[in-house]
Amino acid sequence: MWIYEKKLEYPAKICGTNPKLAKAVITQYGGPDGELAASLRYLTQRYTMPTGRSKAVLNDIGTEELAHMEIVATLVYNLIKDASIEQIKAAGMEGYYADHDKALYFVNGDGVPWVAAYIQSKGDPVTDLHEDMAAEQKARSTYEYLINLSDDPGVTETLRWLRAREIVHYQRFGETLQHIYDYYNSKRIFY
Amino acid sequence: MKGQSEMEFARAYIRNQQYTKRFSPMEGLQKGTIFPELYMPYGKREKDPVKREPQRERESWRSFGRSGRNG
Amino acid sequence: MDNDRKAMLMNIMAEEFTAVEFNLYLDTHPDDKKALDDYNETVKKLADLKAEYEKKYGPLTNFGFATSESPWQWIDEPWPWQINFA
Repeated sequence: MWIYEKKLEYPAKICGTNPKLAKAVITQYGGPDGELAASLRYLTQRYTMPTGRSKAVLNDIGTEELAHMEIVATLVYNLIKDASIEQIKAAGMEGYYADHDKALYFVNGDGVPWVAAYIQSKGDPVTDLHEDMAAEQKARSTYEYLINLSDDPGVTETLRWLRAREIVHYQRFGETLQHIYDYYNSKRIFY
Repeated sequence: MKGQSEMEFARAYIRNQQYTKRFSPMEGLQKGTIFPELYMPYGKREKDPVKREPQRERESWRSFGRSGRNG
Repeated sequence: MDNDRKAMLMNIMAEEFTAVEFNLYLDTHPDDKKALDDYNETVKKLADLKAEYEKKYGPLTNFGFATSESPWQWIDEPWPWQINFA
């Protein structure tokens, strides 16, 4: 069961209207390596994790990713909310605006809609944890590319924070993988 | 962690973190982690094994077609 | 949003983030006594900070996790994405 706390996990900062930057940042909302993909991946994998510890890790990181999705949404929302039609046109955002006005939608930087194929839930915990570790690295790289693109210091600071979380999550999934190997070794199940 | 001779094939290993020190809450919030050993800021890494050095790359690529080692 | 309220929110964010970090660490290190003690200490500090904030500005949680004054405060603005810390 989820309880919502009415505050962000991190104090997101946006220094000005910038639909062009929003168009890139939105990939971490609805793109292949974004926070929606991360949260749904981990939350759907948690059901078949074999130990309490692995269920907890998938549950808790999955929940934190929902909080990160909210931060990305906050960035995009604030970057476009005061944009004029001229600014939207200059940003090449006409397509998005026609379908969504200034609302948030699950697409990548080119408007490609989110799809379940972005995630896998394979059942085998060794497999799933490798998927999760790869996902964290993909997210980290994406944040680095967004940091390279960003000309808004507040957004850059927020992106740096989100990137830092991916490194910690990678470490936790890695530790969970060791635990799963130890668990199966102790039960003498051979793969 | 196991030595190379004890490590198995076809599996990944991640070193286990051991908590000793932590940043203050406000510093941790600013950095994105409370653990100093997990703080790896972008662009400021000193010993980065995958650090790309574009200058060198471009030069070696240019010399390939001339009198370089492969010429 | 006024700066005093933002400052209180920042302190809660800092303390809660510490709790989240300890939580994830404890999920993979359940036997680490020092981490557990520090986590529990953070929980207590956080409860005090939230109680102080909620008394002034209304509930941070719903679905039975915090009380409200009348009229129902949960619906009050601003919602989190409307607050800019720039």
